[in-house]
Amino acid sequence: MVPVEKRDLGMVFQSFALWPHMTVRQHVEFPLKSPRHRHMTEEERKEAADRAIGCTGLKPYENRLPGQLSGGQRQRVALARAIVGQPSILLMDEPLSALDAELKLEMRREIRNIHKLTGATVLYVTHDQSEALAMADRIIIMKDGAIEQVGTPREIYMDPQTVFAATFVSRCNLLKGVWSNDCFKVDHENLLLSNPMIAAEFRAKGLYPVRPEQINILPEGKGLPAIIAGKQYNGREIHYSVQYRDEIFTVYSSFQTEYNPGDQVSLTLSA
Amino acid sequence: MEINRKARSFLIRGTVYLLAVLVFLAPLLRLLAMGFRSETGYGPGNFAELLAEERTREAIVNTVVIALTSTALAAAAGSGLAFLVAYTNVKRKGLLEFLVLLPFIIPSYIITLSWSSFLSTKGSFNRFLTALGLPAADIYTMGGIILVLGICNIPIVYVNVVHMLRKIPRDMEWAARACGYTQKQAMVKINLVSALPAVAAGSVLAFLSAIDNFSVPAFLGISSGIPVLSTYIYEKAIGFGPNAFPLAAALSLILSLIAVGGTLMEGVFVRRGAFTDSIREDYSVRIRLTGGKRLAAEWGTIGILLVLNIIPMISMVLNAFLKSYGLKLRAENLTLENFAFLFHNRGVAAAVRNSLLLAVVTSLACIVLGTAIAYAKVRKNSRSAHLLERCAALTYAIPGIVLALAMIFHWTEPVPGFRPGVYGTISILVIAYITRYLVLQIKGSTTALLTVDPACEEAAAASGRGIGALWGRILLPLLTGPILSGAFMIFVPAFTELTLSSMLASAGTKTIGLTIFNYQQGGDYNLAAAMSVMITAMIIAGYCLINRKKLLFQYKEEKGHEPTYSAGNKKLRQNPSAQGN
Repeated sequence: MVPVEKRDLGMVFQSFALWPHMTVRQHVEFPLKSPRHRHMTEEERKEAADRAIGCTGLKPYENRLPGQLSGGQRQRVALARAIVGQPSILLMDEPLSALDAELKLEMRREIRNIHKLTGATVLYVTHDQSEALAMADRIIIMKDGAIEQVGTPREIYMDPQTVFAATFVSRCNLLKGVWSNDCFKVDHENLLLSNPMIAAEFRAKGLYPVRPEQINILPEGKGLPAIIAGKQYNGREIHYSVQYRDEIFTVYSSFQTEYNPGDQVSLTLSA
Repeated sequence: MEINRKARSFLIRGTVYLLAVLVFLAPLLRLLAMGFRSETGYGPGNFAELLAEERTREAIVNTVVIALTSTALAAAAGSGLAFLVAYTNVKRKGLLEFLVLLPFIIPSYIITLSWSSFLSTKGSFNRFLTALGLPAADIYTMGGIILVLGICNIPIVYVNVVHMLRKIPRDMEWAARACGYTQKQAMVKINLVSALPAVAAGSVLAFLSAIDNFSVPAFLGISSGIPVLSTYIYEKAIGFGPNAFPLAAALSLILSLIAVGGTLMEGVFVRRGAFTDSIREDYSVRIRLTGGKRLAAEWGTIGILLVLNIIPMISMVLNAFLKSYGLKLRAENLTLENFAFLFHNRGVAAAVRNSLLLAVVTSLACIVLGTAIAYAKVRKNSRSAHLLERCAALTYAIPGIVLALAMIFHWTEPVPGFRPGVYGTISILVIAYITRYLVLQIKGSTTALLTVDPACEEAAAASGRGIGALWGRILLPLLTGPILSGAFMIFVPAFTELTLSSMLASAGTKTIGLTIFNYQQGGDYNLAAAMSVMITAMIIAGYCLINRKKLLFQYKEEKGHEPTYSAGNKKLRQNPSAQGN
């Protein structure tokens, strides 16, 4: 096995792993002084460090110690240290999980910018679905050490291949029923759905995935009879949990009509 | 009612401040004044007189040289051992740590005796050396003092460094390796640098302990004419010249000055930036040595520690059974007479009784006072309790021989016109021991109290129970264990104390340490050895009794969990400095 130091990689740790006795500049220069970069001249090193410090916006803080930096600034030091040697692959192990929601969004943008600037492949581990969808060119969904699905964010979201991918990433509701060819008959209902795109695992298990925004709630009329069980106001939309028979469905709905827990409603599906 | 309460709290606070000044500060101020007093009045005359003497200059130089070199020895060995135990996959860490920490519970004069019997001129080791044509090793030299002091101070550095090494997050090493450095380079550039403050702090404590130490230079240096300040103060003070006490006081001030210099050195070594204390210790193996290397490191270290700590001890035990000092180890030379003498000697029995009484009374007084002060400090955030702790820390930090002198000056007449007549009785020893060791119990009880959530107490109050139930049913059951383990660290040094008693004990109040010291000074090496064997056996038996549970269970090293072997030795580390001997 090639020892870690011989691999051409940069890594951002979940805990940042900054060295408390080194300044920001010393952190960034550290990889450049390793045997891996022995061919670089002094000027090249200075230039590379300046570039990494510049593109992470750390210029004003370069003489500070980690203890004197905020969470976001520490994160950027960890990033700068990882990219300064221009490695061909960057590993990021849940780099944003230690930050608060506001900073997370900002750092997502910065990491994407850095990715564009350096062109290095980034291997990014996260269990925040929206982070994965927002940042990745390609997502690998893993469960219990095995790959569930590989694809672009759109493929994963719109066309999940496994039950886990469907429920974990796009929060799909699963209708129970019987498949015949490309047609799905929902149990207990006189409802036929047809979709040739649904993956084999769903067909084998007699399930049909429906994303929360695919369900419409109507006050009454034809559709699946259900009761509103819970309601979370989320700003742009309202998240309902709706009881249909003995299952709870998640439905994202806009404001056109508001329902309250206990209301009898009827659910219809859109494409 | 309100006025009453105010008056009461004022009275209590007044008493505490008075106590702090009278017990802890006044003796030191007396000493300071005494150092500047001469027959003609106050002035720097004593210092001029002392520094004009060749022997004083020699003592100062010896003290500094011995302290610095023995500290370097302790720092190197202690840090190396800490590294081995904290990071590598050697096995038998329980045994290793026990051997490393042994000098913590064995008083340094017994370690000195064991070395002097191991390296005695007619001993097997020196015969072996001369047979090889090598010069014989002599322990009664500067080198000998440095070696024994270094060994005694290894655990002080070790406990400081081993915790720090475990607290350095592994991520930081990994980050360095991801940056292109090998494991060795990462260890040097990251871990070593991060652990440096702990090495410095441990070294300063070792330095202070080396300066403070009286028994090692007294056992090895007095007979061979190597003066250091602590023994020189002792000689001056018991010399009873007209100007003996002022000169001894002036010497004490010089010694205290060196101690302060040592503490200031720490700042030079410690670099900016430090860890927060909240980082948990990580017990996982960081450096995996392959089979042969691991065995070599493991048994090599155990072997060295056996040579340093156990073999001299065995040699001392054998000497204790010899008819007279320097005889060959043969069946016809063995005898139990030394022990029989000790068991029948009234002085020995009195010394054991005195030491036991002193240790018990001191421990009990410290438990009550220390816990009360800790409680006021932690729960009530009382300013007077904080002040009391500071003062108590001061009397612990200054060298023991200096404190002993200050005790004499102060307690013959604590307030003008009042002579309690404690000097010459056992009371002065009790007072001196409490003055010296109280801070250990304040610290121990503070740590214990901090583990009890204040909500536990509030819950007792909310249940409608009074202060009796609070202490009897809630606090004491929770605190007894940790407080007692803190008191153990007072009991053992008080039981084997030598420095204070060498100055303060009189004919009827001799302690164990002083008795062994007198035998050794009088040339009764076999009796000194026999008595040391007895005391060591008592200490080890006590230690095993207290830790019987932890010693019986095999330790398992689970990742992230604290192995039981270090939990067992934890009490030894609460006060990482072994002063008092």
